[in-house]
Amino acid sequence: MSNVFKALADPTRRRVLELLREQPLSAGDLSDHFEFSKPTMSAHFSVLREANLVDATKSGKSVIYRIKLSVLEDALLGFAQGFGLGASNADTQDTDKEESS
Amino acid sequence: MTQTSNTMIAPILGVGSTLILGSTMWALQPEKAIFWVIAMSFLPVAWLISELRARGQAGTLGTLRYAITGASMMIALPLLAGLAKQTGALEFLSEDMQSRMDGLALGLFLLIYGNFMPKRAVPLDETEVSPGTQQSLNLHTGLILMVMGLATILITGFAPADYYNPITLVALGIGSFAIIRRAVVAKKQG
Repeated sequence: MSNVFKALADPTRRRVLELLREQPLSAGDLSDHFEFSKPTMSAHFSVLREANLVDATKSGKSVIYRIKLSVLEDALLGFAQGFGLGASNADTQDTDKEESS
Repeated sequence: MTQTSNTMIAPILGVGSTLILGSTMWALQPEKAIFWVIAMSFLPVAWLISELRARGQAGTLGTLRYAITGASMMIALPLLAGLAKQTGALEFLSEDMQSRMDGLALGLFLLIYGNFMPKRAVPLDETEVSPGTQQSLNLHTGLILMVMGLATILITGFAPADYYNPITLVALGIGSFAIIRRAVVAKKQG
């Protein structure tokens, strides 16, 4: 459960889930919505996979991600999104990662 | 292989528990042997036949095993409630409360199943509607099932003895209608 909270605490990962809620997307398509580097996005996808919030299916050369939320996890996502949890903290972390990479 | 093993664990546990509970009830009530034999053997037989027919289709097998797990819970819970009544494990409860146990068990099942139902990944090539619509449909269905479960628990727990059954049926009917209506709308949208 702590994995779920960790995954949902980051606004980038929440945005990924919001995008996936509309339709399944490939890793490349998802990355196009963000200005982060590929390794940074991979790290975010990895956290979401570890928390069992997304499902990754290999399709040819690309990996298709789809949302995998229970009703309570979906409510938690809405709650975290509504209150902007972890926004400033995660922004700083992402900036740090970008600078170091 | 790992994926196959993972999808096998839950249905094996579910079907195993129906077999154990059914056998116990058979031993306690040999005069109702036919009833208990049907209750405990229906799922293993249905699973075996379906598994053989769906051999080699990974996606279909996953869906089938998930359905078997859900069905085993639906059979195991009433069996467990029956066993508890038979062995007198519920004697500390009032007679009225004992008669409400089935409704409470059903409500609990709907609550738990509704929460986890959308989490199961339906293979993208198996959906009759677009994957995005399917995801939204799954979440909606799960939410309604949870509301139905909560309503069933509250009504069964607190409504007067003469009324809780019909009121629960009305609540379940309204919930089922909402699920079916949303599914029909989703299919029209494609």
